[in-house]
Amino acid sequence: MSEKEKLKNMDPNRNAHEKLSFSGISDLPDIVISTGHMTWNETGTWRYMKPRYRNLVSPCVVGCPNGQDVEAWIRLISEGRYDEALEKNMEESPIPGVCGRACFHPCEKSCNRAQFDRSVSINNLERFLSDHGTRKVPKVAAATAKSVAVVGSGPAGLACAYHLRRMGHAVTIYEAAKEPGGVLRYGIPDYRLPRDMLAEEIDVLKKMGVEIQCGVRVGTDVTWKDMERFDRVFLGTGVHVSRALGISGEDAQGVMSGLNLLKKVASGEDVELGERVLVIGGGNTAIDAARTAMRLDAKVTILYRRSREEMPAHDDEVTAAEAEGVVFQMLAAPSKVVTENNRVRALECVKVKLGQPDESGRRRPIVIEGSNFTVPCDTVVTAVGELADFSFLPDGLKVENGAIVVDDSLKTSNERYFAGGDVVEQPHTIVNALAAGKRAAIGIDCSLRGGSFEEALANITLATGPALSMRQYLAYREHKKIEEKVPVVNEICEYETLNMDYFEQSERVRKAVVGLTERMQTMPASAPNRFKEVELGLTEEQAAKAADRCFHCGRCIECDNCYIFCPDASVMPKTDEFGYAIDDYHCKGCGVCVHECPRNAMEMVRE
Amino acid sequence: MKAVSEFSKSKRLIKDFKEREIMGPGHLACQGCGATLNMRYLLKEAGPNTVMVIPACCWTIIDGQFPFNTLGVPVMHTAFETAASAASGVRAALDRQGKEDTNVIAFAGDGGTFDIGLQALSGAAERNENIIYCCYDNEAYMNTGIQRSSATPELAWTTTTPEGHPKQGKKKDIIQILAAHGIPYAATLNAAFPEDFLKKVRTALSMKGTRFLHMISACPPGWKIDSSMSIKAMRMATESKAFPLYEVYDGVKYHITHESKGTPVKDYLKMQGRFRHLTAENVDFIQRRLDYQWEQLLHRGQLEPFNG
Ligand SMILES: Cc1cc2nc3c(=O)[nH]c(=O)nc-3n(C[C@H](O)[C@H](O)[C@H](O)COP(=O)(O)OP(=O)(O)OC[C@H]3O[C@@H](n4cnc5c(N)ncnc54)[C@H](O)[C@@H]3O)c2cc1C
Ligand SMILES: Cc1ncc(C[n+]2csc(CCOP(=O)(O)OP(=O)(O)O)c2C)c(N)n1
Ligand SMILES: [Mg+2]
Repeated sequence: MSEKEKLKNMDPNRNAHEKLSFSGISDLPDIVISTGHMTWNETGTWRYMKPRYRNLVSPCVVGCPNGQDVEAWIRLISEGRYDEALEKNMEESPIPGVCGRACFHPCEKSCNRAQFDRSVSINNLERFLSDHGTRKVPKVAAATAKSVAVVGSGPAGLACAYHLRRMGHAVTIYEAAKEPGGVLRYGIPDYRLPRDMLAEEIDVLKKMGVEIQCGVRVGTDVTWKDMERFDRVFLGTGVHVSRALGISGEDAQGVMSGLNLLKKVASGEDVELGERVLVIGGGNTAIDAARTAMRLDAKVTILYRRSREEMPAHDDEVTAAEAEGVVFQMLAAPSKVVTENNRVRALECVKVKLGQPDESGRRRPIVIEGSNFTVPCDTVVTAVGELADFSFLPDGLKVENGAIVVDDSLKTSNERYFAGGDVVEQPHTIVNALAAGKRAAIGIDCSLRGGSFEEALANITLATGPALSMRQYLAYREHKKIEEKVPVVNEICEYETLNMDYFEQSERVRKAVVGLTERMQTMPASAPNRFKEVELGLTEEQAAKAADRCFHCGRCIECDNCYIFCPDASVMPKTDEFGYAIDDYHCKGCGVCVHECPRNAMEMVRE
Repeated sequence: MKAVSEFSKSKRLIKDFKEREIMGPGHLACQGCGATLNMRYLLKEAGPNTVMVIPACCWTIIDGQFPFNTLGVPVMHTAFETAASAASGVRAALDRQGKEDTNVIAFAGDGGTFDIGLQALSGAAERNENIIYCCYDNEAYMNTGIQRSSATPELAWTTTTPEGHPKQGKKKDIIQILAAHGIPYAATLNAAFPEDFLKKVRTALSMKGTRFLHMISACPPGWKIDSSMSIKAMRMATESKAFPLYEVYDGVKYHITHESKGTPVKDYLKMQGRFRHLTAENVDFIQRRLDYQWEQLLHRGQLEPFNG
């Protein structure tokens, strides 16, 4: 029996109009009293359009290169279901705790709320779920008898290993450094990303059975030939060579790269910087190096050849550096390292003005002749970009413009090798590295199973892409269909389609940071807490507030509007499962429910 | 302990709405009928121990033909002008039977209230009959084909005020008339604001004497709007101050229950075919009139009640 017929049979009034018939006036009682309900009257026949529930893709989901189902875990947070929120997040990523702290959160740019007041604090909420949820080790599928080597344990390698392992493949990570994590471990400083946080997340991979071999440099300590025992190899080796300044005196003692400085500090080595440190560059490495130097008791100046607007570093980071007392010398470029007995004494610089925009869209710096000036200093830290070193790669792998050449599935010119993260041409961020790790895992799995990557893509690309859903891939590869609570149409829910009558402007929750005074006190090198984490997580109350600001674009959250505003009492909340049933027999198709759905989770369709 | 999120509390707009559904589907209202929502909300609060008195109006039809009744409570259909007097009679009969706790509710259109039923209503109000009188106001005689009533807004089109001869003069201020009787409770209600709506019904139910509830009722065919827009139109009526939400206790104590957003009335008029002919000057005039009336209401709200 269909749902519709069931409904009809439940109605005791369904044949009432047939039972009660009067042949003439004499049949009528003295006082006419109507006792029958009108439900027999199938007003559904008046209708030519019908409402239907369907979810769309919230823009944050696609705004995240890694396709995090942001809306879903925000909803779980607001329901106080932190463990499930974390689990949901970990369907797409092994490192929510890292991302909740250090991700540049492009998702917040695509948040529809940004067009209304200010975007939802997605990044802070991600940290919240990682702080408050209990980490569960994800399910690992039955062993497949295939094995994959992952070279490099940065976010790209970790993600690739994590997802492949979930599919049941045997995975071994080779990492040249002493400890896993790549830039997360040796680049991003402790005060932004605590080590134990990272270790905890990597621990999950170990518990899943991923083998991690540290201190092994592939190409040196083990050969590429050794890699042949694996069915596939993933290269997530990152970019680690600091670009040279190209000026004289650069080899002097007291000149060091930002990466090197960060790595030494992260390895617990003593670093002697002296009193005055000059950091050259305007990217994240420059800012991290400068703030680290501050914590080593130095007076720090950042020298950058353009202006603040052009700085590639994340704005929050620049602001934090300023607050901590880093001095910025803009529109200046180094011209010569002044040395004495091969030791840095000062840096000679020139002033610069900005000309027309170059290919990157930023205004080109032009040296002002004769504007030379000298800045005395004890250490010069260079942070003007990182390059990849490909000398270690196996022969024949195609490389172009400083990046390994890959196809859509991140397969290299050698079909047994895949590559992703900073080694390929893509934005150098954690979340892009994660997305690459996921994409490569899918590419590798398809190639191991002889499946078509294109067909997989068609099934798992979120709306306009390029973000992919691992949740959907895991079901797809087992030929399963995910039973969604509400059917999903794979399109983005645009701001204009929301019903703004139901939303009020509200203040964005401010993330708390350790106060500056306290920070400065912990800064001297002697202070035990000098690399204490600067940003504090949201409290539960703040998180609830932040989560409540989510519009839940395109997703039914059972707000009841459709039910309350139905003039025909034909929308019924389901008692035993999620959502509502529409009484097809009586719905007149007026469309009020669809218009009043705050979040465009309903539409009118032709029958 | 986990902090309770505001969200989980407020997710369902009105928590126990579904447990108390009395009005059933299958009724004969047009698609998107606002009057139907008014009845549905009203009955949810009033409950089954209610007698409904309905004079000639759309709701005579909506309810269904003999021997059917979509309401699930006894209904007395009565003549156009008699809602208040018939309700008074039902009340007296019930009281005589000792059924003093049964609610007697008259449910009439604007024609049956502002125009032809006004003297019966005034009589009942003056006697302070123990009834609730609801006027669902769709701003014309809709059942007979959109004729003008004294509730029709200024300059609106109806079949008796066709283009070129739009309705002259402002909408009658029915709440003022009822307040002048000094009845315990008079209020304006809007189904687009369900929480406020239900609260006012509850307030009325908790009192004795004549209680008057004035409910705006979007009418898609009469207002010339798409059926899906009826909640939107009603919401705009309040947000643009065309239908402010307030209550009056004992005829003197005013209380505004929703601060209008001050949406330009232009937006409210523009969405309705019945105002299609308005010129910019017309709209401006209506806006000024509404602004004035809103000020008037604010002033009334500030007056201290008479304290003999
Ligand atoms: C100082 C700094 C701060 C940054 N801050 C941020 C930030 O806040 N937010 C953000 O989104 N992005 C940030 N980035 C960028 C981001 O960290 C990188 O884009 C990201 O780490 C790239 O990940 P990956 O996995 O490709 O490579 P990596 O993280 O570089 O990891 C590569 C790993 O491979 C190992 N390896 C290399 N060669 C071999 C070999 N032959 N054998 C074995 N192992 C090998 C390396 O030791 C390393 O551990 C920052 C970058 C730097 C340098
Ligand atoms: C004395 C009398 N005059 C006229 C009618 C015809 N009539 C029936 S309903 C109606 C219009 C009612 O208008 P209103 O009270 O505004 O209710 P609506 O139809 O708009 O819901 C009219 C004129 C009547 N039934 N009795
Ligand atoms: Mg009417």
